[in-house]
Amino acid sequence: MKHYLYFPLIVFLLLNPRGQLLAQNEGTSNPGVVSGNVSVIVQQYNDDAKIGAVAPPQNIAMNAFSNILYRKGKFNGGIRIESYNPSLLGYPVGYNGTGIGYFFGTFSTDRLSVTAGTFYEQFGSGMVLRTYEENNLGIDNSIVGVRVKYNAGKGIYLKGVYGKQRFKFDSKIIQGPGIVRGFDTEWQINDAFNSMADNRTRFVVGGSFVSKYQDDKNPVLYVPENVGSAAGRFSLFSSWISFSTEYVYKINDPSADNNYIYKNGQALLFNVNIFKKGFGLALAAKSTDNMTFRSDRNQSLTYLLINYNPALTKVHTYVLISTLYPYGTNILGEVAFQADLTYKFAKNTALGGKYGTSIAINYALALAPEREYLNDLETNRVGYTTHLFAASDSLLYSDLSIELAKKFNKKFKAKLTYFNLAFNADANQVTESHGMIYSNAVVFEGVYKFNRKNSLRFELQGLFTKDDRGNWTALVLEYNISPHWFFALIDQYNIGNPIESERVHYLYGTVGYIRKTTRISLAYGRQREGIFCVGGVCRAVPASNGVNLTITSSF
Amino acid sequence: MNKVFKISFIIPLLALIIWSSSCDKIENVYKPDFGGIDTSLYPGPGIYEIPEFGEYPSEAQNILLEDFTGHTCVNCPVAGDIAHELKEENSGRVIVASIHASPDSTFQDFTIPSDPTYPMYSHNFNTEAGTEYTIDIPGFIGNPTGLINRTTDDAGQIWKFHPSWGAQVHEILDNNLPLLMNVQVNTNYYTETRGLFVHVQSETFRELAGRYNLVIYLIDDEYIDWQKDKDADPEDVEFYHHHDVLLHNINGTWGSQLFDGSSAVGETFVNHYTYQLPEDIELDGSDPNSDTGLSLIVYLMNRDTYEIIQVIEQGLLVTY
Repeated sequence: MKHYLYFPLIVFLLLNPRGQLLAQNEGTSNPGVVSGNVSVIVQQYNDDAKIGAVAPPQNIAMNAFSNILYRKGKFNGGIRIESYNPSLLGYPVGYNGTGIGYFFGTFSTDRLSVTAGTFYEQFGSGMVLRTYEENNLGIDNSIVGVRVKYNAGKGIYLKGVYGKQRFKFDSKIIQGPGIVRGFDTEWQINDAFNSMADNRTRFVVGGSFVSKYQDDKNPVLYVPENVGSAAGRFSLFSSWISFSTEYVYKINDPSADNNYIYKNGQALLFNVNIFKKGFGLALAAKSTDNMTFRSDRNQSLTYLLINYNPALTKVHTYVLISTLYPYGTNILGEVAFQADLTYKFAKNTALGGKYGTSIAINYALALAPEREYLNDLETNRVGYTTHLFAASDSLLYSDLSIELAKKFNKKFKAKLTYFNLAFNADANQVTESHGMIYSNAVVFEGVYKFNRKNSLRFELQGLFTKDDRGNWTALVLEYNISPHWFFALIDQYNIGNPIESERVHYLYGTVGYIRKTTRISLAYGRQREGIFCVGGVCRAVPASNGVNLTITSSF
Repeated sequence: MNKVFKISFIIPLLALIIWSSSCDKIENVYKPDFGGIDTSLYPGPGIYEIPEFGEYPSEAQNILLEDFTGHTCVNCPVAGDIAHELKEENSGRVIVASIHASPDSTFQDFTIPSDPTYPMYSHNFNTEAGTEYTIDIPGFIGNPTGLINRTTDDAGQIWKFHPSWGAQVHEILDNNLPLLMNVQVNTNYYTETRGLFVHVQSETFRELAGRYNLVIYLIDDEYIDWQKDKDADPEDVEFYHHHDVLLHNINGTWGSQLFDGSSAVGETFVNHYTYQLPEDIELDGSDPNSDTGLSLIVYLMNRDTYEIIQVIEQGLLVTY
């Protein structure tokens, strides 16, 4: 494995053939600045029939990457070397070998910026275009091509992108078959009018257009080779409130996602945030219909997505809540609402106590759109009709959480959180069960500081349900010896599984060492089969048993 | 301010132009030849897509040697050996199809369980197309006899005895005649549905007039079964290796018509077919990219003279 660690060094020397050390400050005589990071995850696997874990033939898998960035004056460039030999179990198919998975060069002036190579970009909220990399999920839908950004002045910013998307990785980038062309403009209105320049309320409008091209190779249907999607947005920011909205429309885009129907897609998103001292309220509403947009109409899962449909749910961090019944955005469409309230009771009040008390309440609800089916699959294939925010009574997900956080004294602080979850297992197939899964959960988290260096963090979690696999408990203990060492132990226990033999403990221990920007951890134990989600995008994680070594560093 | 107004005018205009040129609104969704192939044989994911064509596998005119044979024909193994050797010596240029056929079923009989010799010669090698060829192509003599690109010799004979096959094959190869049309084939085979998708592209290289058809044979590369052989002792050989056996015509006895009239240089024809392999056809492999032990022979013929102007053979691999 060591030779992978030499890769950054080799590339560093190639970039700098004279072998001179690069200074960290810029100047006319300086050759520039190199920076970057390294991540190596090595997982050893054992068979474990008790949890259904099956070791791959290689027994060991590795995901590793290193970003190496170079900057000098108006030039900025970089590469990422990736290595999957083989990739970790549960990682998406299509990550193999070692090679360059990301490369770019950017030339920037005050007004103009041109990037050639791979790049990530987002227009507005991302509902019309968002390319991003999420290493934990195995998502990288970057565009390989050219991007131009131009500051036209008076608050007007223009962006254009053109290229193909990264599809898979096989010792090099494998590009998808479709071409993505996009254009975005944003106008920060206050900058255009002198009378508004000092206004504390700022207004921004924007518009985007993205089109994809893919050959029609369908033997049966005329499929559109050019599919366009357009969006308009408006935002307002002031000292106590912000508001943003975006509407997206897409023309006929028959695809594997929508069973090759020719219905137009559309989405509307609202976000309102109100903030005062000690008080915050975030409200969001979203209606999406038939808005998956890929540069290959025949792909599924997370491959070649051009856009992103945001999930209006709280991002949970507790292990049972976040991985047993997490919500993934329904790609066919949903009507969703979210309210998030935070309030801090002031210090030295009845409820606030000496150090203050905070409460956070979050409620998220997602429903399937109401659809009127046309039964026209033999003729026009429009499929159905619906309207924005026309919700059916088919519940996809609801999530209520109430969190109380209090610092009791200088040594001890704690959080108590209650969760009520309703999860549609047919819409999100994360378990073998079907129908609705209703659960309640309680988590008590505390941190006790023994002294300046030593602290203990613990979590007591219980998830209670009569559905699926029954009740779960989890215990997390994390001992930190600042600033270098940490030790963690997690035990998840399916205490209420109706099948007694499947009441299994998932015990997982970790020891880690941190020094400056380097973090090394060694772990051993069982990892439960589950779903890992980031921002409503999920991947299944199979059960595993073995040793995990993780090294991350930056330079 | 003037600049802002200019830009606010230009941007929507630009967006309108891009929108109008980057969106295809589809009114009639089904292609007119819908039903030409059976997409239900595609097991997914998504919807079946036609693979792209690449380079033509041959830039020279190849030869199809059709060996008309019979499993109870004692002289046929000699002819079969000649055909197989010609194929081996001229790999890719000489393609062989062993067609078990005769107009009156001579040497083609097969036994049924009530017959005393059963299961000897119980396999029915005959095909409807093979029999029709022996009837419709005039002058069939008997087994073993053959067709070499279905060309006629100086004596006006189209059917040829096996002793002359070698000389006539080499004569065509030596003449190196210009290619009139070329052909290439792409296939997908799915074990789950036993669905075979065949896509053929043909291109006119020299201006042509007449009726030209495309024919596709499904070939079993090797089938081991009984065969009478006059040179064997006993003459009933149980484990005889039958090479390049015609199993089925994918698109009928005389195939699909490409054109009736004339075809200009550069004109291309694309044909698509699906075929579900019957359960009694055994495959060698079932893993992706494995060889099924079957091949396709694809040829272009003049429907009036029967002459074959180009032929290729391609092994059939498992897609998944």
